[in-house]
Amino acid sequence: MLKLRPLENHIVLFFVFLLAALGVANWITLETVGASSARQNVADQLKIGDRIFHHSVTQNVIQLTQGARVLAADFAFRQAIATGDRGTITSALTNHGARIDAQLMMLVNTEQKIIADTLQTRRIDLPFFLPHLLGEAERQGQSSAIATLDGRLYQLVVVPVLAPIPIAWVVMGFAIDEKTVQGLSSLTGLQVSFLSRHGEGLWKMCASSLPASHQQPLIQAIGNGTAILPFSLKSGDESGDYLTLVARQSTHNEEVVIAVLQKSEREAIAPIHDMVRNALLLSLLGIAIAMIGSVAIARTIARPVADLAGAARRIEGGDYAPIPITPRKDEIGDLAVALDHMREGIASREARITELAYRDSLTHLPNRLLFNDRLQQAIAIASRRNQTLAILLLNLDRFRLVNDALGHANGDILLREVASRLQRTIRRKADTVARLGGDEFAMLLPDESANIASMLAGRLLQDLEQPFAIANQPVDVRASIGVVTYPLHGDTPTLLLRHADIALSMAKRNNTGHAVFDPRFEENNIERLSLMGELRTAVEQDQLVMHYQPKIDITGTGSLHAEALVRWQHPQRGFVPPFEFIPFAEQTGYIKAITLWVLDRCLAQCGQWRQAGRMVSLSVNLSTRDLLNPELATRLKGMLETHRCQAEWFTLEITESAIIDDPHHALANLDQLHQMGFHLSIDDFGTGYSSLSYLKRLPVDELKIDKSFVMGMVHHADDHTIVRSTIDLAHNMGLRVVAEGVETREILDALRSLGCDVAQGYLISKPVSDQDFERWMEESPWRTHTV
Amino acid sequence: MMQFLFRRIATFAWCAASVLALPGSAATLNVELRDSNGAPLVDGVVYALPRSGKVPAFQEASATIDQIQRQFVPLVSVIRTGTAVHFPNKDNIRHQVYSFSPAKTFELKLYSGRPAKPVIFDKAGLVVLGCNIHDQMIAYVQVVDTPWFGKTDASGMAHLENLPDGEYEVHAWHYRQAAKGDFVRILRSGSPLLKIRLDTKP
Repeated sequence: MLKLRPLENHIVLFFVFLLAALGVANWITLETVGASSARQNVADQLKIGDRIFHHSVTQNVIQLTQGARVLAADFAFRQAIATGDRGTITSALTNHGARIDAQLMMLVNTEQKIIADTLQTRRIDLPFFLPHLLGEAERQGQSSAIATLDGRLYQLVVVPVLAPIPIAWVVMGFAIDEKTVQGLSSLTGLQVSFLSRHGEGLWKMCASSLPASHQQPLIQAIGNGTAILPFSLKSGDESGDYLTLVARQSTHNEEVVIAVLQKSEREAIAPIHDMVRNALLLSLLGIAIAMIGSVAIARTIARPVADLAGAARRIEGGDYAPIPITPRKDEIGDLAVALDHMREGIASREARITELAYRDSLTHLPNRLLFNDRLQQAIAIASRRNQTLAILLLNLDRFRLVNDALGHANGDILLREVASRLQRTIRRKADTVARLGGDEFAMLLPDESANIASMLAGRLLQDLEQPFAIANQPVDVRASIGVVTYPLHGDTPTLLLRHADIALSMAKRNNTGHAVFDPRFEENNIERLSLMGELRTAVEQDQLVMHYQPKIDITGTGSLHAEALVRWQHPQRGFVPPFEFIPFAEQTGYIKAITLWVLDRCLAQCGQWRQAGRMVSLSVNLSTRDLLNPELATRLKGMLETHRCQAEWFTLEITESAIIDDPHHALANLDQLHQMGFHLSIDDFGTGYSSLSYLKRLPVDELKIDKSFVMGMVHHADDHTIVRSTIDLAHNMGLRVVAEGVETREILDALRSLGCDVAQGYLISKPVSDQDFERWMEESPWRTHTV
Repeated sequence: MMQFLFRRIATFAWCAASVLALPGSAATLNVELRDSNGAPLVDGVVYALPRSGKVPAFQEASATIDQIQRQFVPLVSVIRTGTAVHFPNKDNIRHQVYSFSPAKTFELKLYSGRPAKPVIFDKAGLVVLGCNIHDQMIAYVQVVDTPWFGKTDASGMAHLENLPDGEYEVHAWHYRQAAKGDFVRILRSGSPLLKIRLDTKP
């Protein structure tokens, strides 16, 4: 069964009820008006039939009269009458009667006696039984009557035989029998009956076209009183319903003969019944068609409305795909178009809102929020499809330097350029490049393996190595990328991004450009987390110890230097090398506490040594964070007083990068320290990107050439050149030069020949404990002999 | 006698001022015919048969019944038995005059103009003439055995003249009358005006 929607139901029910009501109205109308019209029609037909009947009878009489006149006018016949020749007369009557098919022929003389007839029953010389017809015939030239004779009904005509006055009357009779009434019946379209009675006797049916079963009711009805007006006669069953009219009445002597005309009402009403039945059938058919049609019409309305409702719900659910609109020029078409416009409006506004909420306003890349969204979706999809996905987390190295050197506006331009390069690198629409904040970018690569992601990362880095033209200057940018894949490296956005961050850190730390996350990194991390706690403990429980690496003055001044290096003697792990916890401490900021601890120890140690007469100067490394610590100067001042030290005894070593990250604060701090009397040294000189302009502004006293150059200088001309140039540069700027990584005699000689001031390295001594250093000061040839 | 005569003359004069009654043996019988409604009947036939049976000998006589415009003219004729009647056809069409009356049955085959021989009506009685071609043509001929006969005029009056003194059967007949036979009245000659009302057909 068809399942209809309510709107369709309404429409279908409306049409069905309408048609049903019309059908019923039609039926009632046909039943009443039709039936009454049919009855009227019957009455009309009866009237018409009556006229036809009369006309027919009259015509019949005229014809008969003509026939009789022909005979009456026959000269010979008249002669025979005149001469009283009965034989001739009788034969003439017989002959003529046969000729015009008359069943009765008579000749009546002026004495009104029958002088000849053709009946078997001889009536010769008997008076003519309807004498008044003779006078009428004499006056009018003819007369006629319907009368019975010997039980048979006749149409009689009488004409006079003129010679030229009447000398006799010809009477002709035509039997009215079944054949006659059938003829009249078919002519008039009515049932024709002739009845007669004598005096007050019973009516007798003479001839009738009625079925036998309908004759008796008619006889009875007539017997009950003959009405001239039409009356309805019911003769038993429905087929016997007649509208009845007594059409003709003729009375001769004692006899009354009537003709009764009847029209079957059933015959007339039957077509009406047929019509009613057909109308009912048509109504039912109409209802059926209306149901089908109105379902179809309703669907053209309800279906599109339902479709539009569905479309509205899809819009509600955030699906802004265009509504499939079938063009139609009606209200629904309008509604569909309006809805589609509304959809476009909502979509564009939502896009705008999304843009604001989910886009980075600088690069127009997706922001962290959108990236997380997409990542979430991508994870869901990948999980469904059993696919992988990759995330690249990218961070620019030393972006702050660019920002400071070129200004924020240019820094923004650089970020935009980086963004566009990253976007250029990806080709697939599903890939997402996002700016997570600052100089941190991320790429989401659905359905991508770690290998491909690594290759892409490599290509990205390569791409970024091409210098950027910012403010008409070529700017070099380097970046590090951490790579993770789903599901291998995590199944939630948070986990994946954290692991990507770890991989990025690894890449940065190991200077590998990019790194795919390795669970070991995280173990490392976890280790570092516990390390953090342990480091605190170490500081608090004096697990940290100071080692000292001697530096010798190769220019022969005899001054004694050592670089103080912190060592961690872990109770369980034993010796923990500095590179395992110093970068970590730098990242976490805990380096500040360590540095303060180191400074305190160094100042105390140095004070002791100085009091003991060992005129040693100590170098201590400061990290970036230390330089940014505004308390540093204050704390150092306190320490100097506590340990009765002078600032001149100490050299503070800083790396280029430490300054470059935040030159403003760093320089302020350095200036203050310098004013306090501390010596300042640039550590690892040559590995960074520091420009000479920085160097010029820095209140430094010393440069330390990175050991990588120093160790290579005897074999590589480039390194040699760098070392020489650095030494020359430093000397020209009035700075002392310290060379690290002096591991061979050759290097030492080379340095000396180049005029390097101080040498430090395994050739002279590895870092040693305070006691060992004291011993070294007592016993070392480097101490006692200037080589 | 004179007294009686005078009285008679006076009486006669009173009775029929306009009727000339010759003194002596002959008298005139005046008859008036009216129909049922009292209207004068024209073309009525009146004749008197002497009771004595004595009538003057028949002198050869003839009469004419024309056919003019498909009519017999006159409509009614009264003739003495033995009279020869001519039937001249004055129309330019032919007629066939016939009679089936017992008093004289005859037929003049289709003819035009004047037939060579007249028809001798040799028997007293009513003869009705017709034309076999034209049914509406009709003429009545009363053939009587007496020389005293007449037809009524427009005022319904007929005058039988020169009736010898004596008793007479006075016959009156009109073609519209209902009765089959003549109206008969026995009268003496010199009787005053005979008024007869005939029962007529409409």
